[in-house]
Amino acid sequence: MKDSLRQSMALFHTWSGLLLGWLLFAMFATGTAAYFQDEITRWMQPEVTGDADPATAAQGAMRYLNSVAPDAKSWYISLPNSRSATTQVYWQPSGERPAKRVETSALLDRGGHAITSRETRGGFFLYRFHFDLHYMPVLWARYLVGVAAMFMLVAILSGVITHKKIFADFFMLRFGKGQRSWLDAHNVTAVLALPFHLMITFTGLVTLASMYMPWGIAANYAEQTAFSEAVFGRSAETVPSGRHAPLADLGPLVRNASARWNDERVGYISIANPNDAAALIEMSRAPEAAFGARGQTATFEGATGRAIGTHQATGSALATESVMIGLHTGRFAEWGLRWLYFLSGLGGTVMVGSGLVLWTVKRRARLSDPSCPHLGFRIVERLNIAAIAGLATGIAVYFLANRLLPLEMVDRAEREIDSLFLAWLGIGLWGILRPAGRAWTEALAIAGACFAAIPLANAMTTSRGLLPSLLAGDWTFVAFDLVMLVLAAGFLLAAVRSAQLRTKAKAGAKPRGANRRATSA
Amino acid sequence: MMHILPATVIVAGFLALAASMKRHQRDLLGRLLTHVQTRSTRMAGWFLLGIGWAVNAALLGPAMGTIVWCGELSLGAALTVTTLNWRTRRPSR
Amino acid sequence: MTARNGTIGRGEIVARLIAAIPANYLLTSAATACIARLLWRGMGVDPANASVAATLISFALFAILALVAFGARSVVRLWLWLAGSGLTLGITLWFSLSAGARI
Repeated sequence: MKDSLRQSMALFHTWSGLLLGWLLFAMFATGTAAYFQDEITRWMQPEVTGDADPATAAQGAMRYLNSVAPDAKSWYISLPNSRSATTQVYWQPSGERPAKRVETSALLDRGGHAITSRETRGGFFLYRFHFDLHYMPVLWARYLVGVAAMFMLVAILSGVITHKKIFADFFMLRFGKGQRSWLDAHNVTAVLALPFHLMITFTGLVTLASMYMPWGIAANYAEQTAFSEAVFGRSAETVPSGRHAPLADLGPLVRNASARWNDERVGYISIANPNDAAALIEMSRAPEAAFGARGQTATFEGATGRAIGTHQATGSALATESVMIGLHTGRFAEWGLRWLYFLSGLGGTVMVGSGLVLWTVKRRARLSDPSCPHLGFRIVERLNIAAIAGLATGIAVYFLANRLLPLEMVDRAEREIDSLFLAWLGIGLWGILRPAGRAWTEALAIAGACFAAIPLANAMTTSRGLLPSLLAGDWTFVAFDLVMLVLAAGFLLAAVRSAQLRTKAKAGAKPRGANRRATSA
Repeated sequence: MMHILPATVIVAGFLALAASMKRHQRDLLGRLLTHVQTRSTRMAGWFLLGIGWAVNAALLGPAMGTIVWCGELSLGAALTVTTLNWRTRRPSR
Repeated sequence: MTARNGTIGRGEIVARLIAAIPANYLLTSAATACIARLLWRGMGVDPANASVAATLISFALFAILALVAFGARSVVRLWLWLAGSGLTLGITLWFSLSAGARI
């Protein structure tokens, strides 16, 4: 009986892990990169240097928005944090129909000038991809991602329950033993970062909680908006008066709000009905200032700049939720903790990836004719190549495209993203066309070569290559190039290993039953 | 820099925990420990992990300290696993 | 339900899958709504916090119920439990909603 429980859990773990593993791998990989999204954006905008002060940035943004959309319905200004130097603005035009995102958003430098050269979505794209995906409606993507996250949570719990042995094997990582090694890698990466995995999966669900489980709110509120108002303060949807009144200077208001919050930075400003007598300015504290992602807000009258009030949601459940979201995004983390987050995320990526490979390695040993596996096996094998080596290559090509595409290209930011997916698709096709074993070696080598090419391309196309950055003490650029080199080394090493394994397997195709029996015990 | 002291304590803790497991004793210490030694090693290991938390909590406050401690536990365990298996790595078969 | 040799029959897997995913979601939703109502109306927590607390609990609840669906020894007993608790929660929710309106 005990066996049947373990068996059904194991079945669930294996198959749900396989079905959603490819998606989870992409979520983990891009989400891990997103811990450094501001640094990635900085690297992808080598022309932008220095830091930006929120008050000055807000004034710059206001000048820009006044010139392009003075009578918009609303403005949204995402101010630079302590790690970034650019301001992101969005606006909603006064017309009825929502316009295309590209036409109603801009990235500004410190002085409020749109950055038109080397347009890029930078690290922000990787961050958004990890829960919005791409080329598909955001809503579907988020449901899909939520399903994957919930399976992950259940898979973690079932893994812990059914495989108590993983704690006995805590320190075991045996190299060069085929299936045993893959299992060790899967276990070790899972168990070592178990607190992180549990936290990140649960809090990930919490970040989009009202979408996945709206019934807790629906039970008490007939209208979702009533709930939002209780949590976020009054909604910014106010009716314009129709009378023109220039907006108050944002600079002093930003300083005013900051002073109310112990000099913590303002992170976000939303303005309803700018340049109207009924304009309303709402400022939110920067998420990096505390564990809780959801900070205080301060509201001002737009025309006069008079402070109307501040708002902070109170209550332990809301505070818990806010801290959970904060823990997930890690915006509060200083650089040491940020690296720990990054390494843990890398551990999660390796855990999912090794789990996917384990599925094929385990089954290959049981195939009746290993030289001609059945269709399902072949599909999984090819998808693994596409998911793991393909995504890696895609991300590397995304960075390469940033350096190599013409600077003034039309829709450049979109073309960078397209290059990511084209490279991904290319590796996917390569995996289908070539024999699987060889495809692994080649795809891993391509990924490694692409990562290795990034510091080169950076050095050749900008004045901020590894050596000049090192001399200038520009640690963001140094670290970026070094991480790329480490990734390159990792993938090339994996390519060499897979080539060695292939020649070894060819040399002596002896059964390896002994290892297998040991694992199923 | 702030992570070095607590991380060292944590790695020491994990090494002690590994040394309290029979399967690692021969590799780590060259001999098997007695029952009493095993138990005290295990207690020392857990104690060191606790000290790691206390150091973090003292340096960063209990909330941030706990978060950083969790990260350092993962990193410390990873370092321990790597060193252990590096040391005991033998030609396969 | 468990076939010989400890292997699991196909019908049983389907029954458990349905219990673990769609039925689980329905039950968790009902429980979440009930908890939100109970915290607000019953225990005097403000409605926003009551709703959020219930939502936070719901993910743990879903995960545990999914595990139970795969771990329960008897599929028949599992489904009886699911149906029974679903019915109870549904009736409670219906009474609660008719006793006091939403905001």
